[in-house]
Amino acid sequence: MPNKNLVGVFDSDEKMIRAAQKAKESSLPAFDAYTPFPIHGIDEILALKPSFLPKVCFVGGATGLLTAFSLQYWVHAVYWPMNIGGKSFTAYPAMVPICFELTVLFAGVSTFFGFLFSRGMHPFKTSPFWGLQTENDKFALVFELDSEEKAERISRLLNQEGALEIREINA
Amino acid sequence: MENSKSFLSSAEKTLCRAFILLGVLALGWTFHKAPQRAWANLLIDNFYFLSLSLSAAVFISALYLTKAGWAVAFRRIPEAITAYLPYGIAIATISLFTGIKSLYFWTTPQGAANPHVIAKAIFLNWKAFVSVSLAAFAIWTFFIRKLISNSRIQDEERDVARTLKNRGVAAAYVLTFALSYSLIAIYWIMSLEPLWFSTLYPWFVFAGMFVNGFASTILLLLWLQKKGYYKDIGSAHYHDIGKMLFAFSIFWVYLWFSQYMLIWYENIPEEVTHFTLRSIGSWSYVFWPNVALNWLLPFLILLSVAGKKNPKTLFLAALISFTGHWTDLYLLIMPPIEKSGPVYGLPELFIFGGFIALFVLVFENAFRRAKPYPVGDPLLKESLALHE
Repeated sequence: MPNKNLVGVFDSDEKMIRAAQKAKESSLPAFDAYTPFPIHGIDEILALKPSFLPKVCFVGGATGLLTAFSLQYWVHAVYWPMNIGGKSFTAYPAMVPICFELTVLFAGVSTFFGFLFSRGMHPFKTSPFWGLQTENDKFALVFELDSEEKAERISRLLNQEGALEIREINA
Repeated sequence: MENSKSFLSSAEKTLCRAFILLGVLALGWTFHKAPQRAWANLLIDNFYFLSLSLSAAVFISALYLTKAGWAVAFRRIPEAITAYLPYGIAIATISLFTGIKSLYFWTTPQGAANPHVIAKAIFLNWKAFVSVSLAAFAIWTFFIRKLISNSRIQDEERDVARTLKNRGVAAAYVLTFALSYSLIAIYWIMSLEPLWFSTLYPWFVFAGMFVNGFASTILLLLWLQKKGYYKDIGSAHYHDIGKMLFAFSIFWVYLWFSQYMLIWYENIPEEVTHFTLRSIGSWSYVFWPNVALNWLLPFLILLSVAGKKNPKTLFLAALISFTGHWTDLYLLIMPPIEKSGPVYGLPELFIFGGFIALFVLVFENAFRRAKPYPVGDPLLKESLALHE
């Protein structure tokens, strides 16, 4: 993450989307957006790369499936074989619910931590973009700053598009 | 702008009529050779398309109840699917009320003397069968006609009042539908095996037929787009309806497995008969592929975003589901009648083909009578502007 960011705060999603669109057209693409709810299509405007989270989710789910299956197989067929209702020691239908649950659990938990990792977050860190009311009713558009000249142009654009507040935030 | 132009050419209409004729001939031939098989085929195919029209109405109701906008642009497709309802009711009335003695073991003197049937006699008797069916027909016809006519009147009035009215109708329909369809599933299909029971069964039948509603909507949507309709419906809509097909095929296998595993685990003789008949012996060659057709293949095809957005893969998954749920219904209805093993041949193929042709003609006729877009619906704009 770069050190200097310029943030424009808007009071409606429409204004923010229009500003992001304008910024894209004048080749000053916004870097990120913080909004109270998911906005359809914003990822295309921001030209965000697809995240690696689906892969994390898949690997997590596959690990869960394998863990559940090998645990049950090992317990029921190898370590402590028990006759349950005359079924075979390796009665696969009975293993399906546990395999399903552990797949979901591992996939969910690994996606959660994968998300935190991808954002560089952990429980003892506060995001520099916290406090903009974006978890309430405001919409923030974040721009990377690499030159003063660029900062000028971005602030002008944000002002034109009706930003309530323009703030420089050092991350 | 009345959309009176047909999307079928006259040659295609003639082809449909020829298929109906072939179906009728195949049905007549089967009645001559093996009447029970003919009754069973009528039940399978008519229940299939009747359920399709009811599921389409459930889908419309769900849109109204959740105030969803994404599918409003092509809502006229499920609306036109519901036009099969009166045909389905007519065929069901003729085939079930006259074929009841050939299909249902509990109506025969030998069946009626069975102590298990006697214990259920208050439910399993001819009068209850007919009156429950007639009540269900009345409920479905009343609410579905209301839903459709409100939507069409809205084209002229352009007033939100009809949408609000339809929210009430939709709520009443889904509640009464849940009860009536459960009873119909029990009476028409589960009572083919009157000694067996499963409380999950009506839900399971509904899950399968609801998937089919999405599959057929997708097939018709893509077909109509080939014919020049709905040019402004694109990958965002494919993505959303693909998600529905994907989610409900998983829901189907969830119920399938819940029913199978509990009965397999308990292994109680009176419960397990349903599955021993199907999963052991030659019926197992239909039983296991059925799961692949209805769940595994659509699941793998639709798992990725690209699979849902690409009309080709979406079409493939919908087609697999469409044939898969015929197989599912075949597997619910045929085994108690043909205990020794699957019978599948020209009669099954041509009778189903005849029903498809009839369904296409009925759909075309209903689709032509309304505008392709519900132009008075306040959510239409939102639906057309849908993006990721």
